[in-house]
Amino acid sequence: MRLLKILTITIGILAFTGCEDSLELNPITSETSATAYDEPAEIEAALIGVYNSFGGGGNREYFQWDLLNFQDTRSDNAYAGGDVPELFAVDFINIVPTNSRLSGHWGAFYSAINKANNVLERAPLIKDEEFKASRLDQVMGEAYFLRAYHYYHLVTMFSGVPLITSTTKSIRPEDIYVPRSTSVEVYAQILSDLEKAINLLPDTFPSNFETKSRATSGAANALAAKANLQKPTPDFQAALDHILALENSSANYELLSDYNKLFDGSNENNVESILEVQFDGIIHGSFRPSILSPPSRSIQSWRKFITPSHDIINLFLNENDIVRLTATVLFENVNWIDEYWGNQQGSSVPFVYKWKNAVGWDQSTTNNYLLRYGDIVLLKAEALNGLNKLVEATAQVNRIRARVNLPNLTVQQSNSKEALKLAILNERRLELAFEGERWNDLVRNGEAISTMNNLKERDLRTGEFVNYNMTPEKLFLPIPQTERDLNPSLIPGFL
Amino acid sequence: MLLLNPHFDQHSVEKNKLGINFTLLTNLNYLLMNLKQIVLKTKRSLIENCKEILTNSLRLNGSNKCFLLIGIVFLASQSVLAQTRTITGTVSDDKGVLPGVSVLVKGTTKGIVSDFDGVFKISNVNANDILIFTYLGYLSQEISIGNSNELNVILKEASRELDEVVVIGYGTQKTRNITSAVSVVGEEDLKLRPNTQVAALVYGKTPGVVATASSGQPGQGISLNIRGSSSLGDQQPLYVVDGVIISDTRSINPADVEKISILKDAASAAIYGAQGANGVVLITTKLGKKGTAASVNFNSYSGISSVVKTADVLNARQYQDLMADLGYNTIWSRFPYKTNWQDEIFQEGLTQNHQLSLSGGSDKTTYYISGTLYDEVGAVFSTKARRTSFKVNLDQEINDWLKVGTRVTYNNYSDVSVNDTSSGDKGGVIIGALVTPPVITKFNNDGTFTTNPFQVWENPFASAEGIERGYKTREFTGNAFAELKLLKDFTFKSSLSIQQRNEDYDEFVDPFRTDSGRSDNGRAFASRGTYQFVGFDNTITYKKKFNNHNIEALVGIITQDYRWENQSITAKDFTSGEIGTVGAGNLIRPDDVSTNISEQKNIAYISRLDYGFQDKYLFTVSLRRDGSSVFGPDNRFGLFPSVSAGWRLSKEKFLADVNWIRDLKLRSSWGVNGNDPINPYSYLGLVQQGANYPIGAQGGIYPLNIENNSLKWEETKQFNFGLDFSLLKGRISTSIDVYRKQTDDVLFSNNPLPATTGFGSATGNALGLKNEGFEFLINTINIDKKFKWSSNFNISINRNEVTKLTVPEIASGSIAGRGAATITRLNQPLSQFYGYVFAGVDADNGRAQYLTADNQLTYTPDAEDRRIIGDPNADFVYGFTNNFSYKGFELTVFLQGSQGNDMINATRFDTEAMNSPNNQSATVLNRWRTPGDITNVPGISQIGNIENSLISTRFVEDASYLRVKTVTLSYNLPSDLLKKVKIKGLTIYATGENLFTFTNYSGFDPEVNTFGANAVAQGIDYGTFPQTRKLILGVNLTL
Repeated sequence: MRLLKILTITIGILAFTGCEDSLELNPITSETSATAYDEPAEIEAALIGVYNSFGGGGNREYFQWDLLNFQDTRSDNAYAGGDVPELFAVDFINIVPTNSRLSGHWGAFYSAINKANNVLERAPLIKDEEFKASRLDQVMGEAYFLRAYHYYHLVTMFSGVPLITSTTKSIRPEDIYVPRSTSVEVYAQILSDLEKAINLLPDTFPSNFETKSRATSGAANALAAKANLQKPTPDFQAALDHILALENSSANYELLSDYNKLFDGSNENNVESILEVQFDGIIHGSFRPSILSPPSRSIQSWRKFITPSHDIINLFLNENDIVRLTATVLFENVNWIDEYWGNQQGSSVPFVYKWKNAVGWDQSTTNNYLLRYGDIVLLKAEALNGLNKLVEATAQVNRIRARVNLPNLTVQQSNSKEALKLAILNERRLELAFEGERWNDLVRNGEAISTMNNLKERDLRTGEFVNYNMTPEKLFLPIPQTERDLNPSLIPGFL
Repeated sequence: MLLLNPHFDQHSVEKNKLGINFTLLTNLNYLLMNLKQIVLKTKRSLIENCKEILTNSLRLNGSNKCFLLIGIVFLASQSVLAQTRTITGTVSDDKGVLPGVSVLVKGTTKGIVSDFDGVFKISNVNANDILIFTYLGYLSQEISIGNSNELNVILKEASRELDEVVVIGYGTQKTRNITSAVSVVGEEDLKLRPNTQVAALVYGKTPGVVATASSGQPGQGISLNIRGSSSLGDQQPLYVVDGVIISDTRSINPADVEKISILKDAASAAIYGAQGANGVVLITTKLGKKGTAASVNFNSYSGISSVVKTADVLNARQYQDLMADLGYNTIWSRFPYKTNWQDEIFQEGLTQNHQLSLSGGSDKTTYYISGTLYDEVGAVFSTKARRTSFKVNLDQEINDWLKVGTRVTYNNYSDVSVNDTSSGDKGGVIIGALVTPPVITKFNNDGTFTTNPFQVWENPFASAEGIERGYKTREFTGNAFAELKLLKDFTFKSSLSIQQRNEDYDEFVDPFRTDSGRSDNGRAFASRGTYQFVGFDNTITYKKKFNNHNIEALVGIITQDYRWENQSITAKDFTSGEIGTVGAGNLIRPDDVSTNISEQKNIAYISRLDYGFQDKYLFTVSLRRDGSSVFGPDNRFGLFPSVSAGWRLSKEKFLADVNWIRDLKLRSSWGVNGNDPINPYSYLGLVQQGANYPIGAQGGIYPLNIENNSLKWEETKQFNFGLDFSLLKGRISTSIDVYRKQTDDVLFSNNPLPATTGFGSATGNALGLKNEGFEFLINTINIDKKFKWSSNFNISINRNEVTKLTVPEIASGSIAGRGAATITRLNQPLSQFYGYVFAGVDADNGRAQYLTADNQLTYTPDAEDRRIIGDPNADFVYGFTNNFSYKGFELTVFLQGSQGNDMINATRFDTEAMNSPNNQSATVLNRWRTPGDITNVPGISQIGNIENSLISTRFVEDASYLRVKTVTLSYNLPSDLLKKVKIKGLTIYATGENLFTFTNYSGFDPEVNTFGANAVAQGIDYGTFPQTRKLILGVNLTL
């Protein structure tokens, strides 16, 4: 008994010696920032993490869906379709700051930007000589491009936004309440990042797949051209220079001879493609085909989104642009009510059908173009027109028209800068319908307000034309209310 | 060595009094105690002699003379049998004679009441009769007459509640000595409350405790909130069951609970410093009593439950009219049905609970064993819950210095719940039952679920029936302890606790019947989790009583290790609907597989000193040093002190003669509690994997959060002042408490960040919170004759205010399509409703009008026009229990209420907006239709337009309520009847729960909350599963 007693007491005393070092616990299923970016492979992984924003994470909804809502539904190309009240609001250009689709994308862009900033800060610290020699420049170039790409979408949506060019390291108010920069400043940052990217990036990567998946000098030039034209004071010469640089790329971008092949789902990463979101159906699958395709071409029987408008269908028909109409749109009789196409069940309704092969809900392998040479050719026309080189500009438009068996622009369409501007805008609408370009085109050309206010779309339920009530305040989206609530230094309006 | 035996009780006395088994009395102390008892029951002169002899001789040398003496006493008592005579005497207490004491001859109806001088006289009694003296507020005494003709009886004050032993952290205390704010819910409150959750037993019984059931689902846990929100996110107090920290209260079987102590102020909770900031609920489960024969208890009840009210919605005709107004046409003959979706979805629930338990003890061993089966079918289609459990509690004294014990529980729990707080088109079953048009039926001809005529929104059965799902846990909770008397006055206790829970959730949507199932060609989800807790407590207690001083000291080291593991997998593409396990799916993507493992460790050094002088002046000081692995190295440890003091005025001379005051105590406490309610590794910058892209050789990674080494302990400083008094011999007893809690550096894991940081939120010491309150409790015995009536009333008032905020504001309570409905701002209470002021309907066009910030009318207000439009915090909450008994009948009526709290009836956004092809509530029959209509229901809206139904005062309702929470009628069968069939007790009872609710709230239930215990999103009801009305019949049988 005595032995037992002593034993128990000893155990008790041992138990009293708690070990404070044991409170140092390391995560088991995730690494920490202290060690996660030390190796070349880890930097590559961090870079993949930035690309991931195209197909996964918070940006998935934007690049597969809402890009088209904010560019095509908001403009004259489409009605919202579907059943989401906040998208009806987008259709009616009645987008309030509390519309949750704003805050979601705002956050997703900055998340991607933070990831890019992380790569830009961490990659130069890698000591590995082989990495420094062979990959460091490219990695930096890719990260600069990716940061610029996301800022481009932010500035075109919201105008001036806070410029964040380093990772957030503390939550002290002075570190997190970043005020908005002006759009001029944001474009300057975008162009400066792109200049660096152009110098650091190769024309091509060893495989065509990577050349179309990763940032290249061509992609950086293409985006720089777009940014130079889109910014408040366009720089036509700079845009043209970048386009020429792109055309000199050893990636050999050219127009596909058959417009249909751009969208038939079996010519991905083609010569016209500059950058695509890659969907393999495994790591990422696309739901864009499911959300747009008619019930007969997808599993979902519900009312699909982004219904082509009478206005754009009429334009295709008036232009006799049958090639692009059939490549873009598919009509089908539906069992729901469409307030524009048929106010009773069984009506024939058009569907956006540029992205095919719906599989399941989000298992489609159909890629999305992020940058396509066809767009750049028409931007070249814009730049040339801006530089008063009307003949060369017209030639570029006609390249695009010839491919779809349309005659060259008429003299009336091309004999004045203003007429040619409208012809190019029109051509872009047909060429790039439902590719997420239209609203920016209207804004860039100063046509958004008149176009939307002159638009005649009849709501069959009331028999009246929709009043889109477009005003200058609505050219850009409001800063999300949640963000304004969280950052007192954000002021509303355009900057 | 002399041991005080706290487990001494009446049964042992009885045995000895009959003169048997003297030889078993080997423990001298045991004998001494028995003798003291016997002394009380024998003639005074004898007592004096006996006591003197005993104390002088036995204690010193343990001579056997004592046995002899007792033998003589009893022989004497045996020798006076069978002589009838009259007995007289006086009843008094230590202050004087007691009139009105009832004196009853045991086993008969013969009895009398003592007269004004305390004198009684009973004739025709004989020597082996036993007299029972009972008097309210005093311990009843049984005295055998023996051969005396005169009995002078001194009754001792019962002061049951004063002598009640209350479990406090790492120890016990008598109520009379408590100096902090501790509430006890004891046996009386717990018996015959057929309830499946412990929290439900506590609510309304004691002030300062509010229960929020986020819904009435069978499997839904109930959260308790003690003295307001001092934390964000999880408000749950710390639950400690028999010394084991419990993370999921659903696993506690209420029928096993003996007693619940609620530590409300900082001083009482301080000993749980690190986790006690939200208060502590200490639960003690049952244990047999020493020296009692095995007692078998069978407790069984079953009952039905139903949703209390249904909502009026449009019928088929009215729905068609509304659709026509909205511009929707269809061939209505294709939709000929008149389905009442609420009738289809709501059903009669069935609850049953059967428990068999066995308890008892010898002089060294006490035990309690129980097995329980609980099964509930919910009042909403497809919901159910089931628990089978067993429990073994065992204490064993090995020898005079070592005692060991164990508490073991095993639970097998499963439930099926429905998606309730979602919109109809997102599978929300409750809202689905309201907005699904009556014109469709459940299935299409091909076996698929029907949809809205105009949108592919499936009827509510698609999610209730079309998804096979279930949650299961298997949980072991156990603790083993050893208590050693080391040296004189020192006790060392070591306790090892383990909780291990395996949690499974499985879901399968077949590839045919539902739209979502067809989209993925069938989808299965499986999640497997384990939770492991190991606690090791080692304490040394020093107890010493000398002269007027009473000292108790405690030091100890507590270590706690937590480990969570979770794996989940989603599989799609199934060839059939027959096999729904993930392995049968043909597509599993990398993103669809996740593994998460984390650990946490806490270490605490605890100490406490209690000092009492003459049981009159009481002091407690405690100090605790806590370390938690969730903080960085610089802030890992926190120090949490507390002091409290009590003054029992009733023990002072100047009150000694005031007879109507039995007890009067002032107490005051101050202390600091800590809290670390954040995820493990929160201070580290974590890197997330799985951000993949089909390029490169590896998966992608990205920063998950911002490293923050400055994270530190949340601290709650609380001051409490309390007054306890007991009047008129205990007929009235009252507790009053006032408190002020200041919580600083409140930890918030979802501290919203501007998204420009690249992160949505960060864990931070986000805010300061102040809670001030008042609690009042009164217990009265109103009538104490054959008919008894006692009452318990309690009321609590709490006010909270944000005293510091590191972000401009916290918007929360997001409602689908409408955004955040609550806002938390500096210098205001938590979770204020935030929206527009509704200014009626424009009679010209039927549009809803709102006030702008400068009180102008507008149809389209800006975000800047939003204001505070309601407050979900109650002015006060109260509970009122009345207990009536007559002979074997007992009736308990428990009312519970809340006053002055608002609720956003968010379900109305979906049932009154008239902006979609949803069916709507009957309210919209009053909608504006033609210019000139004066109504407060706007006209129809463009599809998807929410301007007429913004978050506004229109949807804020007064959710004050008074609820007849439970009514229980029970009948105890007479014991003489039961004796014949050898049954110790048989009670049958009927209980009604949530029988009536008095409220102006128009929703299903004013007591639910869509966001559960989330402190910044209170008072929102969005399609929440209502609590149900239950009618239960039960039987309680003891053998």
